[in-house]
Amino acid sequence: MKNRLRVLRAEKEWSQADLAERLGVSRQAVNAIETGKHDPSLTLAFALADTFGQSIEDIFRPKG
Amino acid sequence: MSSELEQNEKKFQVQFIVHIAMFLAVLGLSVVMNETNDLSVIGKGFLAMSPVVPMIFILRLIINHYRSLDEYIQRVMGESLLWAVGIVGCAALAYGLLAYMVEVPAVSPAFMLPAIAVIFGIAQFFQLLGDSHEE
Repeated sequence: MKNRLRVLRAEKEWSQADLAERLGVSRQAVNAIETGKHDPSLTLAFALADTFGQSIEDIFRPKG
Repeated sequence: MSSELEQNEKKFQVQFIVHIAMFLAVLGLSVVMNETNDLSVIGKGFLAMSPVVPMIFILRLIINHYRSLDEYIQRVMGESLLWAVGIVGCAALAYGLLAYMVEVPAVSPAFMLPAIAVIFGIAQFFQLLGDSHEE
């Protein structure tokens, strides 16, 4: 899954740790999602969408 | 790491150290009691297995800690555990097969759990290595 998480985070000028704090997850989890190493659960995807005020489809796109 | 996860981690570390200390105390006590008392076979059996009890409490502590972690760390821990059990299982299988054909030195099965724990830690370290720096 491709995502715009890094761009959105940079726009807000948040570090990975800042975003992790807001989401209640580890910084490693944020890093893994950004790099495409881990696809988040629906719950976490909704939390991300809510944090950035966007829809899940605006943040995540299937590969290809 | 979020502050809540960080607090959970610190609490877990303290509880883990306390539990390990309990395990070592029971282990030491069982060895001393075995050497200083002339116990029956049943008594010796119970005494020998007594360190398993604190180990069950450690297992419960780790499972509760696992439940408090985020989904990515849970995944990493799960994969690390698969590596650890797989490697130790394969080593045990290889050792067992080898023992059928050639004379091999005796290895106590009591070392299996510590071996799993060590390999689990190493596997987890390597899996999280790529995530240690912010890109």
